[in-house]
Amino acid sequence: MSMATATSSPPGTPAPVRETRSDRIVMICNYTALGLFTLAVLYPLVYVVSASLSDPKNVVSGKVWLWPVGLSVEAFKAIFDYDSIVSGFSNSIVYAVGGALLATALTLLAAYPLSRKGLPGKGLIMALFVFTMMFSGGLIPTYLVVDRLGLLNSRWAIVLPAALAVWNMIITRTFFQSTIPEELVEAAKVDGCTDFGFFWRIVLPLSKPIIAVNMLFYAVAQWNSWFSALIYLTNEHLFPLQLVLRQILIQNQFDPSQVRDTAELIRMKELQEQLKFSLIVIATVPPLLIYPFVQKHFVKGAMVGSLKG
Amino acid sequence: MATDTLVRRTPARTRARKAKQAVGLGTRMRRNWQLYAMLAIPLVWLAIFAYWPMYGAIIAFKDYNVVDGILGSRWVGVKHFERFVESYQFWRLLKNTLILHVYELLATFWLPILLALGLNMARRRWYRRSVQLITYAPHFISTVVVVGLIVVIVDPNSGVLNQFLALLGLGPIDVLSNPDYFRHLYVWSGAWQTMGFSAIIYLAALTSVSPELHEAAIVDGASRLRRIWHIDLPAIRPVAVILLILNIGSIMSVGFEKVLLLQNTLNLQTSEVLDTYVYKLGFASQVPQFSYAAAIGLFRSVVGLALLVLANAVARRFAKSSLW
Amino acid sequence: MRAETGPGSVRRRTFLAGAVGAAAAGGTGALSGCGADAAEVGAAPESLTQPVAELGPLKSGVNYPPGYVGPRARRQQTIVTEPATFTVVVPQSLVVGDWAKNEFTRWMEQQTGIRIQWRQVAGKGNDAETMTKVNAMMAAGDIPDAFLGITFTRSQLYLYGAQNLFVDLNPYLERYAPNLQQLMKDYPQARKLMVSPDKGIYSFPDLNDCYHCRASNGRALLNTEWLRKVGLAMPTTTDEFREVLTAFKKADLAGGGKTIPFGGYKDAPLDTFFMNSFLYNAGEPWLAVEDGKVRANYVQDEWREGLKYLRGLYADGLLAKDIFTANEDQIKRYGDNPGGPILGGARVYYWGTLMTLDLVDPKARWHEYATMQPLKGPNGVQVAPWDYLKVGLEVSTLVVTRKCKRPDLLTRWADFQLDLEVILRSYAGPDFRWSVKGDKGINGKQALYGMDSWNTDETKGKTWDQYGVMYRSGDFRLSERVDPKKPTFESPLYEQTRDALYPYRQPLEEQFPPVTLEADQAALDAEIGLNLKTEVTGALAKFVTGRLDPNDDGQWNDYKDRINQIGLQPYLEIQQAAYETYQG
Repeated sequence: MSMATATSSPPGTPAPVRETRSDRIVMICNYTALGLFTLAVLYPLVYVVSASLSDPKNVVSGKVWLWPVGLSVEAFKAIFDYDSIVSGFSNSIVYAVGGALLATALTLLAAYPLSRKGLPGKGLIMALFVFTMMFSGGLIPTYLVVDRLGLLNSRWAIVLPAALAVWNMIITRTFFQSTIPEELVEAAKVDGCTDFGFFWRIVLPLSKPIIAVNMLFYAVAQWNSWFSALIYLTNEHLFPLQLVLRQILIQNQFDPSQVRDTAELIRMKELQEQLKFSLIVIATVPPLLIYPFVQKHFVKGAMVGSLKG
Repeated sequence: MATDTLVRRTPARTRARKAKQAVGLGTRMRRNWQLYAMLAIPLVWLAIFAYWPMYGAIIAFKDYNVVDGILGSRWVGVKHFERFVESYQFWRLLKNTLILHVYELLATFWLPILLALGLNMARRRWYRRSVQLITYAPHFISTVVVVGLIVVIVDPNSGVLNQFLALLGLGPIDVLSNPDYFRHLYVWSGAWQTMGFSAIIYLAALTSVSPELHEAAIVDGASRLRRIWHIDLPAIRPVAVILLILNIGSIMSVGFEKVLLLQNTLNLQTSEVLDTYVYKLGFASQVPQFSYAAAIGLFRSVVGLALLVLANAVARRFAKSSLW
Repeated sequence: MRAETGPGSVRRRTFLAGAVGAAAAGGTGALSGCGADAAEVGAAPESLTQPVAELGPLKSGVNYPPGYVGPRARRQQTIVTEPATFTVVVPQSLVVGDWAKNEFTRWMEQQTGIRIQWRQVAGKGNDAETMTKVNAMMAAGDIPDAFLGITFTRSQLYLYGAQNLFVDLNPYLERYAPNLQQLMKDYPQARKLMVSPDKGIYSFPDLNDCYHCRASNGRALLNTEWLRKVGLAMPTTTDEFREVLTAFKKADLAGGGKTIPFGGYKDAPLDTFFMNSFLYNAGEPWLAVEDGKVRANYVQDEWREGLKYLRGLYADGLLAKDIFTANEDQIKRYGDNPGGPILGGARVYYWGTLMTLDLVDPKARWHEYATMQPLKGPNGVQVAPWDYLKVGLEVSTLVVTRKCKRPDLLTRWADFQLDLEVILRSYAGPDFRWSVKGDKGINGKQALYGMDSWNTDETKGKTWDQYGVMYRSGDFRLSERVDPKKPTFESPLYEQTRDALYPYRQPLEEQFPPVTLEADQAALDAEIGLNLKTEVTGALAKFVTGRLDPNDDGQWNDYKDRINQIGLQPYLEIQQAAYETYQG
């Protein structure tokens, strides 16, 4: 079996056959639709960036609608005034990277055996997993468990309880089912390949796209998450970025019916208006930066092309 | 072909089945010990973090209080369930929640698929990549800002929407105060925000399509649309079906934060859903109502599980793919 | 689709559950029963045998305004000579920074000798986030010696207090809290507001007597410049008010039909201003006390008259179309409208909700808007709802738990903070200044202190950001020095409240007080209360915007039927009982 001989043409190369007229029309429609949708999505993105760079007065009064009005980087300065932002950033990276590696590993370990036909007890084990999607013990028993394990107020409390998402596991399993043909397993067995060997040498190399998706989803989920940090951490030096950002937003918020201490209210109000946008910009940059690396693996025929042999 | 999961009766499979019948369960399990070994770690995780805390759900049948603890609190049977089902808003909440979720499902389920197919079809690499990157980004905009933008856009006096309608000689319409518009607003803004992110999974699925399939089809003179229909869609189908099933299982919950922010006294009759109600109840209550919340949660889980099982059975029968 | 249905949604759901209490809660930990560890928890016997604490001698050099009632600066002694350490849970705060490294923390430690081991919880102390975490800690038995700045409700304090989870501070306050004793003499209502139904006091309170806050609900602003232009006076009756708005609309002072005679937004209820021309109405939960009986306003005939009046205004286009749906940003966009004001008036809490405030320019737009006095209705009713009870004394500032061995020391530690100088350090940081003779305060009288750098970057890490225990009396607050070069809106806010609203306040006895409920009652109260709120606010908006007609007997009766169906009777019974308990 020669697994790695990629015989397909490099992705992105136009097909050699001339297009028919109807095909060209379909293509034009497709490009147009994609373009329009992209514009519709682009607008709020530009707006958010512009608002974060504008004088907050202009944001509130509605003068900003596309480009920044009264350029100001105050909001970004204000954010980096908070010491906890820097530690939050590095904590978040640790949680996202560590969490993604651990969770992806666990997910693959669960998904692969469950994708195999004829594994005794497979249905039962699947049911055990699916059941937990619907039923959970709830916040406090989980808190007790984390406490018993001695994880409270440690980085593990953030990473371990989130170390597997059944949703991702199911998707990954479905992937294996539809891309790793049973014949291949049988053939490998005949060649004397063990399950471990097959998983390591054949399944993993063939599953780059789904591994990439898992890494991305877990990293993004960790990156966006603040709730477990809220629940399990009481040391602000361990807080992830999102929790710090929430703190900044929440603490600059006022209940207008409770205007008790008005002197600083206005300053905070304006700051809040701008922070709302700059915080998003700050928090969105890293996920945007990693996306192209994930994208690299979404190449047509990347998997099956190499399967021929 | 490798991608075609519908081809079930390959000789290898038939052989495997025969072999399965021939050897005993113990032997088969022993033969697969390496697979079980792989499963062991995730299962230990599952036992600790998912099943161990689950005993806590019994407080739905108790009057839980902090001092007596989970096990020590008094049993009260189905008191909390009765209270919930008999509560004044029960049917309205149920109806609103279901309608909103089903509408969301119907309206937005196919959109990411379409986007993924479109992206997959586009051949200019820079175009494809930039569209992907841009459409993925709104996922990271917070709900507060999204709702803020919606409010600006639909503002009855100065919003873009009404200016546009005025050009057509229509309107103005006050979208926010009209309960009829709430669902459209919620669903379509959600589609717009999450479509790009949700398409990722389908893009990954499309990577499993062999280019040779397309080449062969082109030689046979198949048009682009026909190739999508016969080659790309079948590749996506297993994932799509599974996603659909999972979505049906979560039918009792919606994106509560956005609903809450879009609510006002005039659209509550359609916008009050289970999640927002429970949330507000928490705020209104002077004492945390652990047991009542657990009962509502359990109710939701049971309904979700029932629907999930049902959807799975239907999918197994008609789409030939299933969760277990 | 919902690709985030994975871990994200699970967390979102958990959070939801957390807000209510938790989808399922547990607690088999140290708290279950008083068995084995009963001996280990609870106060040490010597806690109640320490010498009684007394007020120290006054410090000199402080200019108290004449007739001043409030905290005073005294010489205070250290509390302990041998180091004593307590674990205290606090909200994490960006102003405080790391509590352990905070400057006021260090100062307190130096002055009192008491060391604190801080555990910082995210959130603001009074929001769903903090309480989710705190409830989880409580349920898991993971509790500290005390909570500072974590807002338990009165009913929760009572619940946990009655179960001996929180310490009844009564005996300690008597012996070790001279400053608090003085506070209770200054504010006779304070004690009543502190005690639980079983007479226990389960937290060390805080007092923040904010004058203008007491009138917040009844505040509405009107454009005086426009009044001048249409040649009318500040309206005093419902009829005059309608005339004024009609004139605004007719004159179209904003031009191009853009004039909005009267606006508002969804977080500032209309009824707390307008209904008071028909009956005393303090707003949600719309309860009042009439001859010792609790009354729900929204089923009274006077309420219906109010609805008819509002309906009339709305039908004539005198109220903003989006008055029930606009959010705060929206009303601010109207208020800030470039090129001139478009709002004749609005129901808002103060100028800042209406527009961006320019404090330097004396001609800034916000100066055009003045507080309206309540309007006299057809039957002569004219009330500005005055919050005597819910603004001022706050419970749950410091909660001592049964883990604490020496509640006496924490009580003294809290009482220490009620001293004038300590308050200023805790609140404004070390850079506050005593005022010199002749400095003017917010109320125009002699100022006591100034704090120019309050809550700015300079004080970051130096104060406790209002989470400490404080005694901010009315006189204390109003004797803050106003910088003549940089006046804030504090003075006009105070003056207009004093002149336009205070004279029309209802008698104290009519206000429905903050009550404490038993756990069972609290559950019922929350649910019926929430459904009533939905119905009342929804119906109000519909009656006013014309989806329902207040003049139609059938529709009004249907509305009342729905209210009864939701459970008005049992609800009122709970409130009546709780009210009677409060009255003692």
